[in-house]
Amino acid sequence: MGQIRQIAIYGKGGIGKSTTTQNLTAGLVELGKKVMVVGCDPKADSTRLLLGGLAQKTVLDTLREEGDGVVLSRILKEGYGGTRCVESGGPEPGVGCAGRGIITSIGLLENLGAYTEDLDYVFYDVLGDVVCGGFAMPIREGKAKEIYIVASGEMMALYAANNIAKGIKRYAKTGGVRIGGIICNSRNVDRELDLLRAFSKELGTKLLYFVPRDNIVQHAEINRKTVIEYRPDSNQANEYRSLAQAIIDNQDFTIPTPMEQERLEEILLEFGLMNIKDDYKI
Amino acid sequence: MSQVIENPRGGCVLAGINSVLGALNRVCPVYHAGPGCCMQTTASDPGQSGNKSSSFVSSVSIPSSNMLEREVVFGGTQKLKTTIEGAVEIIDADAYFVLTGCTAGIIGDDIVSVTTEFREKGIPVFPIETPGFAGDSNLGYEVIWNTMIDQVIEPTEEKEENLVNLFGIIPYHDPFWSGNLEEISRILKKLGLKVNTFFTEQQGMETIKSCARASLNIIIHPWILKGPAERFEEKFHVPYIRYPGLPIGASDTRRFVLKVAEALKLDDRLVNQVLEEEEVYVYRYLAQAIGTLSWKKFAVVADGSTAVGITRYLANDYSFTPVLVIISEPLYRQEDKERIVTELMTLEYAKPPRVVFCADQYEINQELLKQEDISLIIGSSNEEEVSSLKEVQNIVAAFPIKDRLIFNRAYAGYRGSLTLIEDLYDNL
Repeated sequence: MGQIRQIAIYGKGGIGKSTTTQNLTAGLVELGKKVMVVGCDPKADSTRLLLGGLAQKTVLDTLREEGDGVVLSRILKEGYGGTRCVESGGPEPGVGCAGRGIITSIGLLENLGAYTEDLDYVFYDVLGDVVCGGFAMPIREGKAKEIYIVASGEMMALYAANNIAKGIKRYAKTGGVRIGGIICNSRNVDRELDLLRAFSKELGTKLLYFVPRDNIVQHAEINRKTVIEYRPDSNQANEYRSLAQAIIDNQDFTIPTPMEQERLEEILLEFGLMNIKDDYKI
Repeated sequence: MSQVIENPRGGCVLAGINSVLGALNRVCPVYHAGPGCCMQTTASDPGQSGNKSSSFVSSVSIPSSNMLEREVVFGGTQKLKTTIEGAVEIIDADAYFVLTGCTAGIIGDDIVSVTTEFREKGIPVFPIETPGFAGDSNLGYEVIWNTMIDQVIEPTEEKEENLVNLFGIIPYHDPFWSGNLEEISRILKKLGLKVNTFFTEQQGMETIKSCARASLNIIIHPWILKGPAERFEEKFHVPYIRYPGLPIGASDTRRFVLKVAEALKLDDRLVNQVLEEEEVYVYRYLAQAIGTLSWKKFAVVADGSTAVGITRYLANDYSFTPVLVIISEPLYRQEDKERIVTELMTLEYAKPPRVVFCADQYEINQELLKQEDISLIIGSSNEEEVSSLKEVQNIVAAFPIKDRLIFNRAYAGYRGSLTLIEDLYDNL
């Protein structure tokens, strides 16, 4: 077995990180890969499609209720195709420190021996922006070495992606973390592909994959399944298979070059985003 | 912005708050903080202040929620609640103050809602939401008075003509706080006043609750309590006067007394009689030991209040020559620095000293080393080393004081000035 590829997926809240991660995980599993998905979001919905529902107790809930004697089997559930699923979880909304919660639960997973040698991939699905040190945990201390940012042609998604790149750059010097590319989860915005390509290039990386928009993703979600499980023969299932292959084949890992605000807005203007008012549709 | 300070004098704001509460009779702090904060904060302030600390609760006897990782992640209010319950059960205090350490401050635990539950049951538990990182221990004194103004002091329009509140002598930050308060209080009482010192004579929460009845707030300090004094006046309509440094000796204490007398429009005859009695008392002693201490060129290293007091006394009343004064607390307002400089520049006979504002011990030592003509250094325990290096006389008379036991020794006022001279002789 080779080294475990530990991958963190970041991106603006609501951009489709969890959906993308789980669907591409299904693609990897089909190819015989061993994958663990670690949800790093207090909402704990990063493994819902793989598990067929929110069937699982989070690490922090278990820790809160059962104290320090947590065993791995209580927090690690097997999902679609043998995927190992863990949700870090978080404190109740408005109290405590969710960022520290991520650090605590990743530390606990390590101590409990969740990272076994037979794993090929570990995905960290991290919430929205890197708001504090806790949410940067997966890219610190040599954990995830590869980062993919999920984005779309929407302005705020690109703002967020640029900010996340700043976080990656910070830890690139000490922790060896690199950006592997941008995954576009399309919103059918005008000239989205061109914009994302230009944006990725400016960020010192590449557009790894363009996932087109398809309502079947929503249907699969309602049925608590990944697209590959829900409609294995659909075009969208093939898109996710291709994304999985792109991840497997990817060898371009760089230190990102985040933009100044002005440059980011220039690119957005160049691709017409700032001018779109009336015909902006999803 | 923050900067590195070698040998800072005192701890964080939590340490300052804890010190002041420790000096209040029958008051119990409850820490919502990591383990160790209660001990460290006691060590950093009372622990360096003449070997005296609160006998009610202090250091490891302070109730603390001892927040660990679990409380950080999930919030620690539940543990705080049980900690307060435990404290209330076993410590019979007049009031409990919940203080936040850095840990609670960072995660933003809602201590107000916890303390409110207790208050609703009639148990006097007050929240102080000022985490340790908010400032240095000087700020603790201001935080306490802001808390009292907001939560404890009862508003009243009834004023007692001869009642005054005494502020600015900070418990433990002035190692001589007990004695200094007692001496200033003694003098004010001779003027026919009733004095709230809050921290002596078994005064405590009841005195604080009713202190809005005072006719005047007297602040003895060059800069502290600016904001709280204004809030006090706005909320309770009690005006304040500021005497910008510890009054030591006949000249400055006269100046202090006259300032109070003017503000309260005290009877001239009584005031003059008191001044005469006190001055005769002091000068009779000084007359009996004329020439005992040889003339010195001196440097002072101390907080603003102590530095102003000692420099002015030794220059004006004892004819020593001030050469260098180092103000050792970080000061941020230009007006505060100017007030201190003015006090040090307006001496009766002596040429004004060089004044340096410097909190860093390395820099303090460098300033003392390069000032060649010093024959006496009055400072804290931190200046003992540089004094022996320079082979000059040294007296430890300002915070931090680690090697003296100080109960009610005072340097303030009339009697305190005699003690200062005694100590100067003993240290020869």
